Amino acid sequence: MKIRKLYIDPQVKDYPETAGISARIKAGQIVVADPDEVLRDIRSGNNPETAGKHSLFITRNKGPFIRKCPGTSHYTCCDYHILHIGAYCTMDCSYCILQAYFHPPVLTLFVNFREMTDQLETLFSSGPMYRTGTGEFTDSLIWEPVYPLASHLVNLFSGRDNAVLELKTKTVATQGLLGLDHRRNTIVSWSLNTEKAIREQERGTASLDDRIHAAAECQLRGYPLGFHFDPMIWYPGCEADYARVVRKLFRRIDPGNVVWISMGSFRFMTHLQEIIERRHPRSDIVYGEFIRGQDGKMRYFKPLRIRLYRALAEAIRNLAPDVTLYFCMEDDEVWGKVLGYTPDQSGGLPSILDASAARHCGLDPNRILEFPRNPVDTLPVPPV
Amino acid sequence: MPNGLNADAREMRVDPADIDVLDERYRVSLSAASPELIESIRTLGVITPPLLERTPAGFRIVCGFKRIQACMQLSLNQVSARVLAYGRVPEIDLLRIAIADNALKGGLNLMEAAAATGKLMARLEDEKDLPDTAAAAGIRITPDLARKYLRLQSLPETIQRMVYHDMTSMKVAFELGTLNQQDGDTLANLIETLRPTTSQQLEMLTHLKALSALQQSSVSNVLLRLPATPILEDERLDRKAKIHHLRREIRKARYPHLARFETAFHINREKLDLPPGLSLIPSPGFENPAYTFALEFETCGELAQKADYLGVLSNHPAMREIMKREIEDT
Ligand code: SF4
Repeated sequence: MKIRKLYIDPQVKDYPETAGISARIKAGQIVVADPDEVLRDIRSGNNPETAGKHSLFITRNKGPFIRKCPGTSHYTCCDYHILHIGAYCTMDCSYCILQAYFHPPVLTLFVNFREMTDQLETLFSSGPMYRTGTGEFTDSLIWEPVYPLASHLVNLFSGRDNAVLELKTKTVATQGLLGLDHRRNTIVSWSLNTEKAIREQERGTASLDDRIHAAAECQLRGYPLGFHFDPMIWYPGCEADYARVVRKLFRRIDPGNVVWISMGSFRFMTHLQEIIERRHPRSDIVYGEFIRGQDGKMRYFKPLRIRLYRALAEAIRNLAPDVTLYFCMEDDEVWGKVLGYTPDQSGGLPSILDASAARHCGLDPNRILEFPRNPVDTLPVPPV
Repeated sequence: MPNGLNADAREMRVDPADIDVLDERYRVSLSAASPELIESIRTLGVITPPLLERTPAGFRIVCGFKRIQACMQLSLNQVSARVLAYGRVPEIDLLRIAIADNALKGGLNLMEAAAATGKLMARLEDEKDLPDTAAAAGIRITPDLARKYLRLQSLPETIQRMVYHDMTSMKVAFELGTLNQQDGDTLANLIETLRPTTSQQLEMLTHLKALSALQQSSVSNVLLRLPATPILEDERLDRKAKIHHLRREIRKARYPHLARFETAFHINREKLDLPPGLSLIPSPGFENPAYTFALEFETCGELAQKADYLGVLSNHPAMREIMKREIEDT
């Protein structure tokens, strides 16, 4: 997506980061006195979600940079921390919750990195282990060609014994990461899907082969890796397609270098349906066999989800029997029927993931739940 | 309404042949003269005279389209009317009078309100004046409602007719309007034939549209693939049974796994042979693995009897099948 307008918050107009970004983005620049001006501008058209992908607002994060993922009721959450670097995305997946989450959504990049760094330093010194990621409100690597924020973060996390950074992406913008001294504190992760799902639902993202190739390059440079099969999309023949993705993946990737693989199926708040139907008229993703889940979101009928997960888990287990597999937002029945155990039987999902991070990233295992967790601000984040 | 209107309108007898009945600029009611109205005019004459405006060529109707129509059907050559001088009252005020006349007589149905809105908007310089102008004519039109009314008017005639005859809701009409002409007509015919409730219509329509997207096929073709025609033509089924069977078939196609799972659940529940007053209830959409037994009893003896039965049930093969919650492969 081409950025056509660059809105600049007067508070950051003299930041060197702003100057660097503006120099790389060839777009009309507007210094806005009031952020609402940006929103009004975006809202004024008849497709604000698309307009928001062509406008970038450079501003300060006035709230906390680090937030605890609130999860969702009735389903098991992984106790993740979100590093809020910006919002929205230049790619255009039909199912993206961010289309419905911001009103209206607009590409936003926070450039008060000094404050972010201070907040991270406080977190690092606080004791327990933190799994932190930037890929919740946006894709972790979309801004790399414009501003190497991810590289800055990799350096910041490098050598910590209680924190890992997860960069989650559907891009291949990893060039800037390859030469860094990351000391395995950064997990580079890709969202994976079948080639059909990528082609039909993930507009503007890198192909499956390119994602795997980029992952293999990161592996060569010593980065631990993560993969997320989320959202899995059901269609006739999808089980065989997901198994094919797994085979492709492990032809290039060493299972011993994979910190975790998550599985989650497409779920959505009902109001996203109208946006998907309007913005992605060729997508049939909202016409699956959905029921209303216990948290109010639409989910595939559970036995169908279980069948889908079983096919994927079996394919993974065949090639990577020891890799840490987990579910994003599923209940004990799904865990038990697909993986044969529930998170509580293994000390809880956060501990399972902390242990895997400690093992792969060389963190201090004694930091796992060593201290009671600090209450980090829990602000609303996109429902996972 | 202009104050001097009554004073300005002159009562006189007019030959219906001099009235341009095709000039419908002030027509709000869309119905024709009823047999009752014709009979009343035949025996008693016109009790409330229609309001006409004189034109260079004769007269046009402001209020009383049905009364004039009835007079013409009765071949009357004179009708008493109140007549306004040509151009004396602005068009917008005459329209308000026409709307008020209809609104006060028995209200406007959706299509009539839509027609009134369209006509008012065509004559207003500023759309923002619509709510006040309409209120002065005795109807309430918010800007949101006005948008909906205009959308209604842009729908194909078959759909407008269904709304007019109260066979469907505005929401269903809009959904029908998103379909191509052939699909819209197919569904309109189906609704006209079976007369399902509006919630049943919405359910069928939503499922059919989803199936059409999934099968990349028209709604008409989706219906053809279902056993819709045999159901509709089955003379052993009454209207309600036809609706029931058709909904079931549509749902089975829309949710094939869920429908099979539900069927298996029902079969197994039947096998449990639960006594009256004891029912087994799954969670909505079978999402939560917990099932509920509802137990009704009036005496302690009955409670004990049913509690014993519950104990036996836990070993029943059908109960075990239910608790497996597995989806069978097709
Ligand atoms: S890559 Fe992620 S953030 Fe970007 S559009 Fe797709 S789902 Fe949304």
